[in-house]
Amino acid sequence: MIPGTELESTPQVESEAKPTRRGTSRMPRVLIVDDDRSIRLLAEKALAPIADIMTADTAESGLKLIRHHAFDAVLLDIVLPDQNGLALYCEIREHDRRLPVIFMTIEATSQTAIEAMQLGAFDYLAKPLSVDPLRDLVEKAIDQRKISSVPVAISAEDESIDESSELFIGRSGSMLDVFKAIGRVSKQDVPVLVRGESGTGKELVARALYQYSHRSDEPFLAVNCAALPDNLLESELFGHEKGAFTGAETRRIGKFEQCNGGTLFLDEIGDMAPSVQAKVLRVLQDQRFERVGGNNELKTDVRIIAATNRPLEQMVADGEYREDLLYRLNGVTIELPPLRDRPGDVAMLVQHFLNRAKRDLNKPDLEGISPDSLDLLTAYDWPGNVRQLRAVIRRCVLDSVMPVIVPDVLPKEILGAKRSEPVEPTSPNETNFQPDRPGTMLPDLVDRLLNEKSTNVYAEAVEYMERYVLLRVLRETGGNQSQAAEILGITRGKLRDRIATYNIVLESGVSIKEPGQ
Amino acid sequence: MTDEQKKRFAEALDRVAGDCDLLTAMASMVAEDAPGVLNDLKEQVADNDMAAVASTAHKLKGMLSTFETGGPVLELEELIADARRGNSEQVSAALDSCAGDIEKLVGEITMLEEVA
Repeated sequence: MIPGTELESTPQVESEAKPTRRGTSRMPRVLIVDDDRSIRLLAEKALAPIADIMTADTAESGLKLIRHHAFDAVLLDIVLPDQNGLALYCEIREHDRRLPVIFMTIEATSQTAIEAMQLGAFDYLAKPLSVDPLRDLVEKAIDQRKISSVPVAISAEDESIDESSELFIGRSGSMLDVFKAIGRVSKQDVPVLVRGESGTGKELVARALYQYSHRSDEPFLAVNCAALPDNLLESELFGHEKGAFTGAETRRIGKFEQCNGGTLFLDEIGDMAPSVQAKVLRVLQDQRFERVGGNNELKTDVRIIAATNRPLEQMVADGEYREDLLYRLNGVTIELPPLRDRPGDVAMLVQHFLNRAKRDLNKPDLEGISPDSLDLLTAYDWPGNVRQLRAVIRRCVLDSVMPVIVPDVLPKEILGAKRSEPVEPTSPNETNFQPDRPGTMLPDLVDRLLNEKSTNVYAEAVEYMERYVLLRVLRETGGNQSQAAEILGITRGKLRDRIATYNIVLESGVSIKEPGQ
Repeated sequence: MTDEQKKRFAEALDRVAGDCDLLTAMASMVAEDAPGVLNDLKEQVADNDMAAVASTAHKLKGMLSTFETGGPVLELEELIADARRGNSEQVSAALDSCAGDIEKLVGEITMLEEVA
């Protein structure tokens, strides 16, 4: 029984959430409402690694829990013994419009599920449930909850505004310009293009624009355009009709329809195929579109915030990107500066991340950072920008046994920034990619990075893997980029971008020259 | 679970990421609940209460589909559609046709629990 709530009349509320702590931050909390206890058990087991779980077997008991507890996502059966799931969904929305709700339905073609999506439900899952897709979807919903609900506070002062907020920090001129731009355009119902290197905080800008806008009570959905192959991206954005393509067994509601009245954040907008660009342009022009495979013209009212770190103007010149779309998108552009261009903000960011890590990682004895450590951090050029700085500080807080962070606990690449000592090359391109044994050095690379206390293990391992996959597939196609893009399931533009990133040289369209050869 | 059971319920096992303990625990619940739900369904068909039939058959289908997505589960789908259309004669015939298969499947699910 849940303390403080009146659930005696609804005895099937089975489990009380046991707040599991990671450091002192709260685990996400998920509510499962289903009258089938075997489904509740499956979902509980599947989601236990990522969230605290509470369950209810009726609409009434589920609603009581929602009114007394803070949840990050809800899994909701569409047919409940005391109420239709859709009716319960409407009550949940009344209580908390930003709470992501995932419907579960045994009927894949359920009209109710489609109606729920049109009303703004996060997604729906067909029963029988499978553990892995269930966990993936709930993780996405929890992320969605975070990006639409955790406040983004802007600070040009040393002290935090609100501990529960994600702070957007900086007092350099370029960051003050960003803050002013957010204030200026957030309440204007115009598209905004956010530009900046990876890790500079483009998503935070999008969230701030949403939270300070007139649409802040409506949905905020995010789509990473680079994460999906072209055909799936089109379906994700615009939905599809049953039978539109192989595998389209039911009608699917897309983000533009689902997000009606709200704000859609299109990340990596430079990674869109021309066909998708044309459809997005049409939405920007007159807010109209059709589902894939459909003839009915649908109208939507969505504000688009787009982000990219790709050179769109150059892509227009190269014929890879629509000029009219670029001009529609960049009516208002917010440019985020890289951290290396605002070294004066490093100390403030370090202080903030230290306070946050101290609390999250339960290190109350940590007093701060030594002046020479701060000098090193300020001198470093931060290729991963603020995201990398945050990761470094958290790693230092974890590793430090002293009350003050000293240079010894800093990663090697940061020590090298000031001491000018010969630093071993760390790029997997330089040391670990062995053409005679392609792809086999990944375990060694990860071991080395761990030994070096790197805070960039994921990025470097993925870079190594990505380079191997690209080379392997390009060899397979004899250097044919169109075929390679199709096999890889990415756009040709993205493939060209990666070829340039990894300095892959295609000679005579056949041989591939690797760096160092 | 025996090797034979693992083979018989391979798809279900795959859905629970190979977790035999979880599948067995779910089997235990379904083995306990499903016979009662099937009895309710039979009574509702006899009472010609098509709204209740659709709801109960839906519940039974959900329970069983964790273990089997073809056979009796597909037959229940037809039964639900007929009940929603109010075709009581077809519903009665459908139940006569699939009750044996449902009982057989519940028996197999019960064995999962008993072997564990």
